[in-house]
Amino acid sequence: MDYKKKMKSKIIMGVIYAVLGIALIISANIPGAEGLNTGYVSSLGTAFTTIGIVFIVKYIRILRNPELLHKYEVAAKDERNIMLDSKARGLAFAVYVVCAAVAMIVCSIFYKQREAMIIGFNLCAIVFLYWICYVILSKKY
Amino acid sequence: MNNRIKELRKQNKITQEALAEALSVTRQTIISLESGKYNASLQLAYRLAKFFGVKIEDVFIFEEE
Repeated sequence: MDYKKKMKSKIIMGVIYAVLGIALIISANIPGAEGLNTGYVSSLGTAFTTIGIVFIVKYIRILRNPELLHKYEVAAKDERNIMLDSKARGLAFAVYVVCAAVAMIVCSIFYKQREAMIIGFNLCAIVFLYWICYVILSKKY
Repeated sequence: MNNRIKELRKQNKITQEALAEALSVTRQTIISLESGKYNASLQLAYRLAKFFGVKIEDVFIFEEE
């Protein structure tokens, strides 16, 4: 029952994405939108609309088929899948931090100070966010 | 941590699919448990023991490193 609600909320998310996408496409094509990067806004709108439609079709299909719903629910609640998801996120974070640090050093070596600074700030923000999340989670568990 | 899941499953003539279905996990989880690649949570360990009608320590063999 709980998972059904989750599926319904995904459909609502799909509708929001689709509406947002259509709004972006319209805003890129109305007269007076010269100040906008219309090509980018239009592409973004198309992407949002496509994602929205995919979400709606996918989750309606799952909701209408009890067997498929059960299969998805088991996969979503499976503890090994949850562990893999958590480990993959942790690994992706570690790889990202190392790559960003290397990129920052390389940029600094080649006098690309602005790029190095942007990457550096991004790195600090991510590490700070990690620390905040760690503190919050350590109080919860 | 070693386990006797495969042995117990075969004794009870249950397929991996059926065991997965009964425990609400994926078949891949059963495969990983049986091969020792993944250690079950306490909750799943309890459900496994309950399913086979044995004690947790009869399913899982703890080996100190």
